[in-house]
Amino acid sequence: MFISRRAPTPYGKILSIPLTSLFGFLALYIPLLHYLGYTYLLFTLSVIAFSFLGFTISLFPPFREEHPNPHILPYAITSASITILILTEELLINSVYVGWGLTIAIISMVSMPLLGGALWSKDEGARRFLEMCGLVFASRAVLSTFPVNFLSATTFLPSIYTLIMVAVILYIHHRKIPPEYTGLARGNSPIHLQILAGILAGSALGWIEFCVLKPTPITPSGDILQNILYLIIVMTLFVGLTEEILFRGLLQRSLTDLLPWWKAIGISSVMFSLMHIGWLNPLEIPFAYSAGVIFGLLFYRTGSLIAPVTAHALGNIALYGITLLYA
Amino acid sequence: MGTVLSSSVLSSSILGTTTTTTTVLAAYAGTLPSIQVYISLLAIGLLIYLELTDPTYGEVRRGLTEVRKSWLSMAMLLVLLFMIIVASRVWLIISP
Repeated sequence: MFISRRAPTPYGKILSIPLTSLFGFLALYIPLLHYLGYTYLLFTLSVIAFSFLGFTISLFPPFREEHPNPHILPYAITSASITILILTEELLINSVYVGWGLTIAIISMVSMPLLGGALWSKDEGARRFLEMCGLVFASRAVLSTFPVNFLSATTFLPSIYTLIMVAVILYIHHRKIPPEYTGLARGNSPIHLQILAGILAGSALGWIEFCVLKPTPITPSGDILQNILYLIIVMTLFVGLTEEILFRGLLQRSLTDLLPWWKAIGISSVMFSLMHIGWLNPLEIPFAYSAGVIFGLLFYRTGSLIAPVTAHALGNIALYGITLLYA
Repeated sequence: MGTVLSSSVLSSSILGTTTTTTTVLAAYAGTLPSIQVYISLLAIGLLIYLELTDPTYGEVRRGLTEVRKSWLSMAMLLVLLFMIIVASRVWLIISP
């Protein structure tokens, strides 16, 4: 449905949004850094402030949007409530109150489909969105409670993401969601151009994220070729594909049925960025939001997950590849 | 962009101190066993619900069937996780 909507995309005004959000974030962050120092309180306040900023920018863009459904307020309120829930859950999980955070994740995971059935029994789109939010909470619960000591470090990521992918595929199969809906199709742009756009976006994002995070290596010890092959396989087939199907193919796509396209991209990107709170780095949140917006725009314009998966995978490959070189 | 963004403190992934992550990791390690128990109980509960609402046993109310479809993928995910948790516990017990 949204693929056929060919209104011109206001790229110029869209580009002003990340600049505005970055300026707005720094305008809050720098004074907080000065008065609080580089502390956990700074991190918490900056995450909360950016969530509010990101959500506001998503709901009130500097251009007009059209949508078949004019009554979007209930959906905006629902998505705002779920965003606050994700924010609370992620902040608690990455604090000394981790038990409370996981409890919220488990309760939300089970109750989202129930709420969908109870509140939106006649609105399949809204019900579907709540079910997909339940999947997001389920992925967090699995990531956090997986017995890490059971597997080696190199099999940890593929194992967890395989579990999540099984749940996603089961959901798509049982709900009879067509592949074109989730972007598991060639899309409306040439494949080589989609891959090229993904490579360009991913390389730039990976380098920027390395400057922000400087993570520790995750590859097995061994020769450089083995490590690069490991990164390519894990980041493309497991991490990139699973996260893009979940956040873009399901979450953003279901939001596009309820809200105008920019609001859908923005809100799903805010939720995506909040899932990166675990890095405990204040700058990672606006970065992840920007990456989510880029992936979301690639999905929206092409109607396929090829470009966002390529960008996401290459971003992570570049991030850990540069880490490997530095190590 | 200036010295703020290129600061080594800002680019640290552990907020410039090891105290925060050490404390968080200790809280996580202490809470993990009980949360795994809750996950396991939830997986068993969802399995029981799926079995009780199986259409092959007879007519089931539409609302319960809809919830069953929504919970099916989550239930499978939790059951797989439950099996991995049990396998890890068994491995811990029998490993030398």
